[in-house]
Amino acid sequence: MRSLYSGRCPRYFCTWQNGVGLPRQLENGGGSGKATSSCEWTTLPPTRYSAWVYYDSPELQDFVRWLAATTPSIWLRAVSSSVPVLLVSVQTVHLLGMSVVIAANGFVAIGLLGGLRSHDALASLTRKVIPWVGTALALMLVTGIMLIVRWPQRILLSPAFVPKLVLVVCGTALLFYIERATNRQQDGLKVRTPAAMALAILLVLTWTAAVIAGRWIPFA
Amino acid sequence: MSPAELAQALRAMQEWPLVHAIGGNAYAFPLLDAAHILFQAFVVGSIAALDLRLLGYALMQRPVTELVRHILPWTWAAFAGAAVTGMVLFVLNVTTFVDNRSFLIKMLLMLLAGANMLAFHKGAYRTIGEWDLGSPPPQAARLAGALSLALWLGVVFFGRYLWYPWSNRVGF
Repeated sequence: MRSLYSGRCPRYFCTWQNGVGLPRQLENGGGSGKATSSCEWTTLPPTRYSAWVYYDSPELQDFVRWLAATTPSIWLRAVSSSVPVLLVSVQTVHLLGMSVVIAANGFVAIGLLGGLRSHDALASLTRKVIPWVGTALALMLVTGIMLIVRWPQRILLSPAFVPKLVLVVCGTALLFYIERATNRQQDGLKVRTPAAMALAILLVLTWTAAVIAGRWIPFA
Repeated sequence: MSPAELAQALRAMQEWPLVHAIGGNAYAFPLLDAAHILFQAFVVGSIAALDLRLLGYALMQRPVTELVRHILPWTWAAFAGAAVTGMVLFVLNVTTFVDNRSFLIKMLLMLLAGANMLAFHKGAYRTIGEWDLGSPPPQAARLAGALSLALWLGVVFFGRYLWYPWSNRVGF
């Protein structure tokens, strides 16, 4: 099939000229911020690395260089560059894990806001989702490590990577706290109270920010 | 409409102010994509919960009708969000997407998932009174759950795959 597209690309990210629709900046070791494609809209804002920024540290850069040269990294890149089925499968598992985490946390938040039948329904829901969320996070850890090994400079050197990890840890801790609080025998957290509503909003905001930060990794 | 006219119309869409506003903004595209992924995650996760109930693997202590009543309105709300953000993402890439096999397969799989849902509601769900709680779901309901899981898995897979242009590449 021939593409109908002709003329220049009016978009910031352009699969047509850029191949995979992602900035090429980190691929060249970062720094220049110059677009490598013919699409003039893909020019990235100049990066503002400075000495205290962790992703600019020589140790991390050395580690990334070492990791990118290991056999698994070379193999994962070689396999996924010609036919990206493996890469997309890994991303799909990562996304499905995220679906479990987001839906579970979403319904816990809905329950805290009073969207479920009763308080008991929320308490049993929080108990039930914990093992699912744990399994999903474990799957995401495995697939996430595969994605890092495949292209360490894109992920480890991205300013969005560590914020994403911190947000995921915060969201998970918040979910565990809510599970404990709703299942306490006395003094348990009650739905529709100000504390429950504040927790629900915090939970939603934390996971939303985690998803945004995660999506931002290749763009940052 | 001839192919040339279609191409002309699509190229005209690329000149929409919306496209230029988002194309010229470094933050708009990643934010839109993140919103689409967030909504999509909720849709897939909540549908998977119902599917696992229909398969008899999870939530067996809860009546199916209660789960449907509590889960599906939120699923539809998230689906609306995913559809709106998805349409904007589509317009931004319209000339490549109409030519993108992965995108077309993704749309087809979503249509099939919708048809599967309709078939379930017109079929096995009519006799819900007999298997709402306390008995394993009938064959038809389990089939609907398995099909739905597989179709949404495919939607997520091709949703990722569509970013890798392969219409002009050998292999799949």
